[in-house]
Amino acid sequence: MAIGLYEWYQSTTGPVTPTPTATTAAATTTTATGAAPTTATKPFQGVTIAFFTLDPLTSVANAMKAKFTEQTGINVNVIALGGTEVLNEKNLLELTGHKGSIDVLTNFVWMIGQNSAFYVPLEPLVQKYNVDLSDYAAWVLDQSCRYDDEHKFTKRGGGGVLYTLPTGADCALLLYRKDWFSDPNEKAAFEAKYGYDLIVPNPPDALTWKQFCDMLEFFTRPEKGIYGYAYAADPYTFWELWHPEAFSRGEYYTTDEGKPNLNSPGQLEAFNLALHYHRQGWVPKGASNMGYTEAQLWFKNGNVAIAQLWNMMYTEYTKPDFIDKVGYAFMPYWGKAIGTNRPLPPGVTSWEVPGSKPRMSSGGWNLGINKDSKNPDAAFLWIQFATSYEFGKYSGQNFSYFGARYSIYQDPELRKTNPWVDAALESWKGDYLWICWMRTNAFPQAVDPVTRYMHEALAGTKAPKEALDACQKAMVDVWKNFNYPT
Amino acid sequence: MNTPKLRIFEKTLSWIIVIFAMIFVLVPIAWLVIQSLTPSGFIVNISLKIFEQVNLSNYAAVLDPSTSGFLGNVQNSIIIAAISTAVTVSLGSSSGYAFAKLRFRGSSDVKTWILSMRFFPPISIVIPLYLLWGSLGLTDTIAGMVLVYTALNLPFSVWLMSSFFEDLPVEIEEAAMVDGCSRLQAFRRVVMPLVTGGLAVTALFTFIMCWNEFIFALALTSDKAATVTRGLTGMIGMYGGLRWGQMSAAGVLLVLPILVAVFLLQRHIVRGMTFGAVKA
Amino acid sequence: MREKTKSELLGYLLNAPTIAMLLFMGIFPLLYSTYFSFFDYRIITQSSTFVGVGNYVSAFQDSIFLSSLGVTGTYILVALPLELTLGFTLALITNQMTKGASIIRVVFMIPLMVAPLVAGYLWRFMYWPDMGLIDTIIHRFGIQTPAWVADPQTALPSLIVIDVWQSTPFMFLILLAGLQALPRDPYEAAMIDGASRLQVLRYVTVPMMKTIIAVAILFRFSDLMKIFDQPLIVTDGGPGFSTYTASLYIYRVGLSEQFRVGYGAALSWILNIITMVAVMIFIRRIFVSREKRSS
Repeated sequence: MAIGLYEWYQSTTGPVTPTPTATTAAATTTTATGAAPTTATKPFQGVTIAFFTLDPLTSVANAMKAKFTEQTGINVNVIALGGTEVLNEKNLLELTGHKGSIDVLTNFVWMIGQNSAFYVPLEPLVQKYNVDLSDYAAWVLDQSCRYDDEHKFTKRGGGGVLYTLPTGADCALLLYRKDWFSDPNEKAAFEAKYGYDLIVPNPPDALTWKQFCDMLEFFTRPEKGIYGYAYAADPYTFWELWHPEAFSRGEYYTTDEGKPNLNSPGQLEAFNLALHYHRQGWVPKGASNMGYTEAQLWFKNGNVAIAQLWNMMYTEYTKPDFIDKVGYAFMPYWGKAIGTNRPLPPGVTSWEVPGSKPRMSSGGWNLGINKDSKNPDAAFLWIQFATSYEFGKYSGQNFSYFGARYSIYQDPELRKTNPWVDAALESWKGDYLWICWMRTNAFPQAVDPVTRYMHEALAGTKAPKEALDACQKAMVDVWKNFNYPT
Repeated sequence: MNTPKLRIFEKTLSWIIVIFAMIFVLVPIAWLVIQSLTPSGFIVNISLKIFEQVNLSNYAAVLDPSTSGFLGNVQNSIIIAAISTAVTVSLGSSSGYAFAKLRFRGSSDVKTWILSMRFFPPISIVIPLYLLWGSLGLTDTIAGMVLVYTALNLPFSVWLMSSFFEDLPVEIEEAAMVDGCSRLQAFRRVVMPLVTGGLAVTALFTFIMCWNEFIFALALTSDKAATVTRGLTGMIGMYGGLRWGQMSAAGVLLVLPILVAVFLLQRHIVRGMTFGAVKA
Repeated sequence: MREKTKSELLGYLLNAPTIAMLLFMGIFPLLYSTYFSFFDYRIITQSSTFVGVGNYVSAFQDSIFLSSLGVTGTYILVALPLELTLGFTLALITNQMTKGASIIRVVFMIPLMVAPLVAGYLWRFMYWPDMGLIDTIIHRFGIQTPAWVADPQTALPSLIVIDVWQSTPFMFLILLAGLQALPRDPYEAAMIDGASRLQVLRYVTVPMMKTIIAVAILFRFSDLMKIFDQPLIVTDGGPGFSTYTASLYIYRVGLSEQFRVGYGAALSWILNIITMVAVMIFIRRIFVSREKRSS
């Protein structure tokens, strides 16, 4: 039985390699001697369940489903969807159409509120099949898999009724070109210009936003085609990526009572900082239409020094040619400005905000069972398998998409080829991860047009304050529709 | 004033236009093909070096039945497109003929109503259609998609065929009937051959539309009747980034069936029997 | 008399399958849409409140919807004439070719054969500033380029170029088929009369092709009103709202994000009505001029 993460960190003898939890799909279907189960012990022999999913889970599911069928006799029909919108559309059409043709659906963290009304609560099945939940990362379970009215406005943690099981524990870290940052010439030039060392601190320490700006400026050399920073700033994704600027000042989408909070002074300052990189040209040309695909490529091809990406996108950087070139750190915070003076970006009143800490976006895909499914038990067995150690390890080996289990994050093989693990684990402790988009069921209704009003400020067709005011109004309208506090 | 000089000028101008058009058309296509031959599909720092890494791995991955549903999607799309095309052409030409040649009450209103069926944004029809298809058991079925695509293409088919029929002088049919053919025989032997151009165009566009249609394919199919477009959306990935290498390879492969269809049908878009000859 | 009723009967008979099919496919969705356009029906919360014409009134106060109509309108006003002119020119030229005509015709058709999804991504990456094919080529000549689809000024024109690339074949093929079906007599007569090429084009070809040209315009128009694929894939309606077409907005509202079926239905109806009115005006002009011609 895997030990919890907390104990692992507390142990003074160093990391302990735990025994992975049982990989069988159901405790009841393997005999004690490990012999192949007889038909009598495979109650769902011949059943087929349909599974909506997307990359990289599609590939992993296709690779592993034969094993699942062997163990349980259940066939799995893996149906590949693609992209956020396609996933959301197909999920909702299926769930609200009530035909039960799809049994297991994949969700992003922010879909849990919206979709939970259509899912089978999993606690009874967990009890029935004696599933041990302790190896799942507790914060992911709370954040991505549990929901109820009481916990709808949380910005971390969460809670409520268990509706899904997690396939991943996502966090968006800061990546940087370790080789550039260790180059002696670069270091000398940087220190001469800015008055302190060119170093990115290891978590839980972090850069300050002032240092971040210095480094972006330092590495922006357009004549060589090199820029400071890459992230996905296209109209749909833009909102996801200035979270660190806002979160690190304690600003979330709503107040703790749940009132929309998109145009507070703190949000405006964070927003102005995020826009500053674009105004200064520290991001590549055309950044405002770049999605995750382009951002990853910018970084991979050596066109930027720093990138902000989700941990499942680190696959390319764990390959032998890149593994030593990339460093992983926390996103910056509003700390004391050191080194030579840097004028404040327009709309920002100070580099330092008391109580600021680095905060990154968190996510976590998860799998739920359609209420109209004709085989909820068989579907549950699949969910168990798809969130098992074996499945998550395969996923981690091939796609750096680790399953959301402590044991997987402690696996020595995986840790060796994925140097980001330590930074990610560090972020799990303390208050470093806030949920990237809200879980509450009203939130998806507000995304469009809010993210676009923000993008208008990026494109220059709206002033930042005007944009955030429009966002606030749009969110308030949606909130009113759900009778949520405004 | 068709002086030889003018004619040479015209011919040169024509060729220049044609060449520019061919460049405009072919360069992106060539780029697509080149990208499909590189592993990731992305070619940055364009140089001749890219030809060193040319390989067919993307094509292999796309065509591999064990990991990719591509071939199954192609099969579905071919069946759906073929049946839809056949039905659309037949219904479209019979309706088109009726509107062009026969007078019946309310014909122009009906014709306009048929046209208006094409105006509604597909989005608004998706949900009710999804619900209707659901209750009839037609979601994710070949028959269901055939019905949708036929209905979507009928307005175009009706209007195009009707305009081809309209431009035929009435005398041809009457001449044939005077010679002893019934109306139906006249239709089959004399009229139809003259409108093969219209039939070919209708068939081609219906086929292409079924192949490329996105919104209904996405909403109404999941895997059993998944069309190629639906299959392509599965390659969008998201957090791993777009599988552009495979998608571009798939895109290139998908051009081939349509290319075949165009070759087969474009023979019919040729100058038909001249009316002068018939009149004489 | 009997001939007339026989012809009427045949007319109805020949049309029966078409009408039946369209009724079946169209009636339920249309009724559903119309009915729910008077409700604020949100699928996710399973809530439905009667609002009468509230949705329609909101639509006219919805700045995003209005701007999206503007974007769609610009699309049509620029792309349609471009595609018509280009398609017609190419059709005229290939119509008169003898050598290699069939190959050239097929080549011109190729953009239409590429799946819209693939074409969208292809062009998106071609437009990639500094790294994409277009900038790489142009920069070789030392010319500065804008950020194409990332710049609010050039985003819509860039998208229109893609549409011209992909949809001119549509015009091209219809018009070519029409040209090929024209009778030779009027041309021979015009030759004898010593008319110039341009005069032949203007006074012989175009009038004879009027119906077909009208059909091509009508259908391209109705497709452009619903344009969706490329704005979604290439720019996702951005930067800001500068390429946010009406159909894309209806998609977000009515389906992929909000599932606000009622409001989406009302927006669709408004789009539908605008299209119908424009088409009616256009058809009336064609019919009127045709009647004038025959009399």
